[in-house]
Amino acid sequence: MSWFGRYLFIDLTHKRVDVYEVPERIVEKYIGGNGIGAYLLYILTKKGIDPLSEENVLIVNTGPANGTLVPMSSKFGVYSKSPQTMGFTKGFCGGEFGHECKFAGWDGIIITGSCDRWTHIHIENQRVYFFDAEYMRGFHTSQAQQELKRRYGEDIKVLVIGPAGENLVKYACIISDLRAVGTGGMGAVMGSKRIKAITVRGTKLIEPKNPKRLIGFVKEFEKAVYSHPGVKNLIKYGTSAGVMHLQHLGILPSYNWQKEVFPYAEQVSGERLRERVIKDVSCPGCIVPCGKYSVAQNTFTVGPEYEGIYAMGTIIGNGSLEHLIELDRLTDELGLGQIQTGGVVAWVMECYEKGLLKREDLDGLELSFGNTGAVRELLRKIAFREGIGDLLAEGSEKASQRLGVGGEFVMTVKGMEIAGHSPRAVKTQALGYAVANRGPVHCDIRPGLEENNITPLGKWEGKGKVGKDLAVWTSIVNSIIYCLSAERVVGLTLNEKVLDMVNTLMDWDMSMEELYAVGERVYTLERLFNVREGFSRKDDTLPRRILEEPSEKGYRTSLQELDAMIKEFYQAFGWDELGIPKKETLIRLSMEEFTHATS
Amino acid sequence: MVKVNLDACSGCKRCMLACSFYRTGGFNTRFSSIKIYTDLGHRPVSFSLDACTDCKEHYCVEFCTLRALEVYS
Repeated sequence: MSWFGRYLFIDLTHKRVDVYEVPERIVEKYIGGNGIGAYLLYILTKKGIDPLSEENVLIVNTGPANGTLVPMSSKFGVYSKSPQTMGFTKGFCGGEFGHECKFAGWDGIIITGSCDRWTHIHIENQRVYFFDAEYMRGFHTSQAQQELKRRYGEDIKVLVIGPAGENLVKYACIISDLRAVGTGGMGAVMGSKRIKAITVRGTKLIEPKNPKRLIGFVKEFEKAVYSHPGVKNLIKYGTSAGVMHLQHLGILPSYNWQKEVFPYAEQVSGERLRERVIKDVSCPGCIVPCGKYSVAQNTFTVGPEYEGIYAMGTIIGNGSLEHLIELDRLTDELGLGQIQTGGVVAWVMECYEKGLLKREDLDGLELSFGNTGAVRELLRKIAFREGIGDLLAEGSEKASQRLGVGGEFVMTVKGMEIAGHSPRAVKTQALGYAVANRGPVHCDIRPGLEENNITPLGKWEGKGKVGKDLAVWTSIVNSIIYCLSAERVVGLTLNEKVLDMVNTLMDWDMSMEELYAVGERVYTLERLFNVREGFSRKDDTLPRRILEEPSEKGYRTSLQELDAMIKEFYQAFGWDELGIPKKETLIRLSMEEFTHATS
Repeated sequence: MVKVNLDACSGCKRCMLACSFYRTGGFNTRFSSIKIYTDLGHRPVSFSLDACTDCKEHYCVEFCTLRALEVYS
């Protein structure tokens, strides 16, 4: 089987280890990955828990594609209650951990409780070891991974947090290899449980139910991907190809979103990055090596991806690719979620340039736009919660409230800093940032249709319904799990290739309508988690600057436009005017067990 | 026998998945005869052949879409 129906359940408080079985009827409804992750998180957590308490649950899981020859299937998912949004969160990461988790015979790992001392969990098939990890406190993420491989063998696969996670920075990430589970602050959740690292090694086999069908599909899929005209560009530049494209469209955010054109865009473009790439690398099982192994004078990184160029480049006014590569590596080494870190730094810089925060308020750092030397020091202060870093570790919205400055240009939704695609011009992204269950990310409702000129920029009419289709599609993609970076070659919306992939992996004969319902179900269940936490229409909004200040090209998303899109989006999903799923919707989606949540 | 051109290899380990699949009927790179060793950034740094039978099918070569593997005699 491409899935086992078995999760490893670890209760850290009682050092209890168990098998948690997920029955087939649940798999039929939610597939795996995102779907099962949302389901388990909902039923295993209680309303109102502190995300950084032992009551919170951290789930790491895979989908049926992971560990097989299906191309672009290397990503694994992590789910929890977010310490930054206080709602549902999820994140997906490339690398080998997901494959190895399956090789150990598990669809995923459920972790609850917390340890008294810093601990390293090692999983070896059905055996679980708890090793002392006090010696790794303060280790950078690469250092910790290298140390673990030295001690336990080169072939283990690792999840690790950096100093930011240890110190409960609200937007700390989890690192695996040189890749990250970036958003949601799940590094802090792992840190609150005093888990420095999780390693896994397995000797079980993933045995597909219908091998012939699977291999036939893989061959066809390979051909379809390589025959796509966009694949060469994706291999050459990775996601950094977007920089100059967005600059030409006038939608490349810069200087804390004061502008959407960046004067130094060319210097941090995919073309310039290409000159520093020494190797194109793939995640395991992937046929599109979009990873750019790039070098600076004193360091190297894989990337930076487009979002890294946004967060450590354009948004903080940094036009030096050399410094960008260094900062990209430093955020990962410290275990800081890159998009949110960039948002926080950019907000501080605008406060500094407007004289709202002085040098003495910032521990003597001159945080003007583009001053990467000061940024380096600030990142370290945030990760270790030193001086001003302690406050900034709470995120820009909380820092603004406590300092009483800069509230009018805090770029957050649900307490989280927004990602790097323009919600002024890309209307589906405006909607996406406002309504996404996990906060303002670019990976739930994707910006691809407008950025690729398939639907026009700046037009909001009908985007509520389009947004719903995109949210449904990504929910399915993330439940399988295949990589969204491949959307340009697999398709920007739900299509027959995705349906074929699901049916092949599960050996099902599902219709497109049934698959669409899976996506609706998954996204609605995430919504129900947030409804339980008290979220509703009032939380689905955009930063003031996006609503009121137009970009150079005149793009702006007004409150009226946003209201209209949200209304259409809710209606399309069968949610009421407050964004709460209606009872009849839950019954239509065979989610009867959750109908109590809507009353 | 099979050899790997590490300059063309992207470290995806599809050859390992394919080999394990045809040897065992399941996927687990640990059961592959061919091994690609990568660093933390997934950059391939070396390869080895472990109990490779030099099978006539050479599935490792077939599933290497980047054509980094070749058969030599």
